[in-house]
Amino acid sequence: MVKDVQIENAGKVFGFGGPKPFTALEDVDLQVKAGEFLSLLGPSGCGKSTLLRMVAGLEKPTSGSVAVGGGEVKTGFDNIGLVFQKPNLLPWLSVLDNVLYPARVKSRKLVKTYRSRAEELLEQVGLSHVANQMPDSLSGGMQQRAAIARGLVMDPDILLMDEPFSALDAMTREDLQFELVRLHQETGKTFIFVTHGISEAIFLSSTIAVMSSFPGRISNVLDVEFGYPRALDMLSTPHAHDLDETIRSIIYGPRT
Amino acid sequence: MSIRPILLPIISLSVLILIWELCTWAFSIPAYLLPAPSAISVAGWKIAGAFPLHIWTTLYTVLAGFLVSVLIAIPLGIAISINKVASEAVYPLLIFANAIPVIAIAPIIVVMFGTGIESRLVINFLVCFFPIMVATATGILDTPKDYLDLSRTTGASFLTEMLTIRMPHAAPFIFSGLKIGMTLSVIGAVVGEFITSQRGLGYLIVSATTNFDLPQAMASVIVLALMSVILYLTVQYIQRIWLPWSIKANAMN
Repeated sequence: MVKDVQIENAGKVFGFGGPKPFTALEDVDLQVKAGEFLSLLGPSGCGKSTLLRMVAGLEKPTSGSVAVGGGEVKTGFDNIGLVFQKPNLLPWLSVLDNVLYPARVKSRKLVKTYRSRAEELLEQVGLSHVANQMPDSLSGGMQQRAAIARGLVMDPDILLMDEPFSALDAMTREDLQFELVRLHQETGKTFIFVTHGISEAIFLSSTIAVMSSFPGRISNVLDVEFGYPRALDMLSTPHAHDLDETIRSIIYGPRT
Repeated sequence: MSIRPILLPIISLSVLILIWELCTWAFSIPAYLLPAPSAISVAGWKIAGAFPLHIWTTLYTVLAGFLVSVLIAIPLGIAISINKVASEAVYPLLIFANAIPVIAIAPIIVVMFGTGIESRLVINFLVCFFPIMVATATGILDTPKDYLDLSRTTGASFLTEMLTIRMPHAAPFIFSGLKIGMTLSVIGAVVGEFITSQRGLGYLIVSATTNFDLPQAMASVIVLALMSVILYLTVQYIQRIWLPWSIKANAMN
C-alpha cells in the first residue's frame, strides 16, 4: 500500500527540561501525498535528518504530530524502508542476506518467502551477479544500490532516504539518481529524500520542501513541474533555473 | 601467499640461536647459568619420552580452564553490557578480582580447593575470564548506531537485535578476547602447576630448577611456548573459518 504523511505543528527539542535544551525543529507543517517524491532540502543543521527520523519513528516529536497513512508513527509496526547516508550493510551477511535482513527480523520463514523478491530487486539495481558476495568486496555505489534494494524489500508504504548519495563520487551519483527516479516510477511509492544538493532535489522530486535553520522550519514548499521520466537537459530549462534561484534566495537571502 | 613472512623469522631465529651458541662457547658460560642451545636440545631429547604425559596434563588444565572461563565470561559480558544496574553493581568487583595478582592468591586457593584439578581450574579462571568478558561487553556496546536504527525500523525485538546485530558485531571483539584469554590460560595453568601439581610442564620446570638442571628447564619452557603458540593459532584459525569477514587482508593476523 502507498501511504501519505501528515506532519502537523511538529517540534523537536533535544534535552527537553534539561539545562541546555536545543530546538531542532519548530512548528513543522508538511503534507506528503501518497506516491509523491518529496525532497527535504536545506543547509546542514536545519533538522532535515531529524524530521526524517521522526517519520521513521526513530525520534518522537516533543510537540505536534507525525502520522503515516492517518495513524501515528510506531517504530517497527509501520512498514517503512530507510536508506542511510552510508550504505550501512551488515559485513557478516552476503549482499542477498543483507537485502533480506528486514524479512529475517520478522521471522526466519519470511526469508524464504521474500527470497525471490529480493533477487528481483537486486536484478533491478544491477547487482544479481554479486548477490552472494560479501558487502566489503563491493564499491560504494554498489553497496548503496544494495541498501536501496533492502529499503524496498518488504514492499514498504514509504521509502525514506537520508542523503544517500552524498558519500558517492559525482558519476556514480548521477547513475543512481536516474535509477532512483526509475524505481520511483516503477514502484509508485511515496519517497522522501533528504539532501543538501539543489540540482539533485530539482532533478529527482515532484515537490521540494525547503528548510531553514535555528530553529529548523519548513520555509517553502515548491512544486517541480517536470514530468517523469526525467532527463538531464531539464536542469538547463528556465523552470529549473527559476527554482534554483528561488531556493537559493530562501536559503541564503540576497547574495552579491 | 609470499614465502617471505615465513622465511624471515626463521632466518632471524637461526641467527639468534647461533649468536647464543657462540657466546656461551666463547665466554665459557656454565650450563647452570645459561645453557647453550645445543645443550638444551640434548636435554630435551633425553626427556622426550616423558613429554607427552606432561604436555597432556598441562593442556587439559589449559583447555578445561579456558572452557570454564568462556562459558562464564561471555554471558557475564553480555549481562553487564545490556544492563546498566548489573554493570554498576558487578563491574567494580570484577575489576578488583582481576587486580589481585594470581600468584598471590594461588596458595590460598589451594588451601580452599585442595591440591586437585579444582584449584588449578579456579586459578586458571581468575587469569583468563577478564579479557574475554571485557571484549564481549566492549563489542556489544560498540555496535554502530546506524545498525541499531536499521533493526529498530525493521521492527526487531530486543532478542532479535541481540542475535542478528549486536552479537555478530561483537564476535570479532570476542575473538580478540579469546586469543588473549588462551595465552593467559597457559600462564594460569603453569602457575597452578608450580604450586600444587606433580605433573605437567610447570611441574617439570620447577623440578628441573631445584636440581639446577637448566637445560631441562629451558627445554620444557620451549615446549610450553610452542604449545601456547599453537593454541593461539588454533583460535585464530577458528575465527578465520567461522568469521572470514572479520579478518581484513592487511591486518596483523
